[in-house]
Order: sequence, then C-alpha cells, then structure tokens
Amino acid sequence: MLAERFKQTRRDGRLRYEWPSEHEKVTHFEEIFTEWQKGLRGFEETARRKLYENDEFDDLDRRFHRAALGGMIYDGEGLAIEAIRLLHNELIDQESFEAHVKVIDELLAVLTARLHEWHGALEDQVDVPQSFKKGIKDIAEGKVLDMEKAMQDDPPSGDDEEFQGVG
Amino acid sequence: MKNFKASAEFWKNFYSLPPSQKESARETWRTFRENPFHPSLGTHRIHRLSALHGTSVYSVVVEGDLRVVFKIINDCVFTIDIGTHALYG
Repeated sequence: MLAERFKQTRRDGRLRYEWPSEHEKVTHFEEIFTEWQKGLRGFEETARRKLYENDEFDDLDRRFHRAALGGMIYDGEGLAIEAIRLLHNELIDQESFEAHVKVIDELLAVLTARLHEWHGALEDQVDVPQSFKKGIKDIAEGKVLDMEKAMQDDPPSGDDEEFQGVG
Repeated sequence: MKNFKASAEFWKNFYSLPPSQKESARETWRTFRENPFHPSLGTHRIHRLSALHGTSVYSVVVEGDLRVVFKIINDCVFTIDIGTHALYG
C-alpha cells in the first residue's frame, strides 16, 4: 500500500508504467492517505473480534495481529516519506505537509503503542504488576511449591533468597 | 488436573492478605482443586497477558476484586499471583 511512484495503464493489451503528472502525485498521495486511515479503523474492529475480546484466540491470531500492525506502521512511514518528497518538490505547501504528517505521526504512535502492549516483552510493560512478572519468573526458575502447602503453611520470612529451591 | 503448584511470589502475597481474604482464598481453593474452570469461580482468560506471555493466563474470582492468576503447563496448574490489579479483570 505504499504510495506508488508509477501509474499503471493498459494499452494495446499490454501493461505500461507511466510517470504520473505532478497533480496526479498529490491526488494519489491523498487517496492513499485516506485509504490508510480507513484501513486502521477496519483493523481495530477486526482486532477486537479476533484478539482483544476473543476467548479462543490462538498463535495464528496473535501473529496476524502483529503482522497487520507492522504492515500499517510500514505504510504510515511510507506516507510520511512521500509527504516529505512532495514538500521537497514543492508539490504541497508547508501547511499541508504539517497537517498530514501530524495525523500520520499521531496514528503511528497509537499503532506503535498497540504493538508494544500486545507483543512487547512482558518485563517492559509498565502497567503489568511486578508481582505477576515475579510469579512468572519464579515458575521459570523452578521456585514453586505444592499449592496445598502454600495455602496452609507460613512462608519463610526475610528476602527472596529464602525462597530459593522452594518446593 | 493432577498437579497444583504455586509460585513463591503467590505464597508471599497470599500470606500478606488479611485473615478474611485468606479464608475466602482457601474456600476458592477447595473448588479450584476439583475443577479450575468450575462456573462458580468465574474463570476467564486474560487476553493481553496471554498474548504477551505466549501462553493462556487465566483469572479466578476470589471475592470483590481479589483474583488468583494461573496458567497450565501440561497437566500442572501453576498459580502465578494473587491480587486486586485491574489487569486481572
């Protein structure tokens, strides 16, 4: 979905590539800009159904979500790059450039945050309780004990070293 | 499920609960050890933590907003934490 540099036409039964006119470049950019935003809204709806509120989501759903986010970030940056080129070639003015890039950057920030929230490293998530991260780490390191014992006996007092090799 | 294990962190946090909440947790445990997905437990998957961890992470309602969080590896249930964090649902 990158803003295409060439216009495709079909003449005499053959596919031809033509360099778009100056006006067409701006029009094409505007079309892709609008399509990208529409795509984002559609994505949110699909993500809610397939991942955020899906009790049965599996690894495929997770990977599709991550792939879609990566793709939309790639396309958004492509739009920003095209805006810079259009400004450099004086095909759009500074005001139009800033307005477009502001919207692009705001949406890229949302996409990047979403990518981090759902696919970042667990330990880097600031809103995930430290006790959850610690519990996961304990399990990975074998610092576990029988649940019946945990529900009945007092844990050792003192620091974490006393839990080493527990269970 | 045959095996139930608790993380050291769960153990520590369980024992720092006030007595009434400890009793509620023990009551919940009596049902949980028979069936972690018993309807009375309100067991539900925490989507975001499951996605981040790469394994299903579940939450069980103890009382009010107190939750126990666990995961299953093969035939062992690992209790990860107990607490009232909003993310536990």
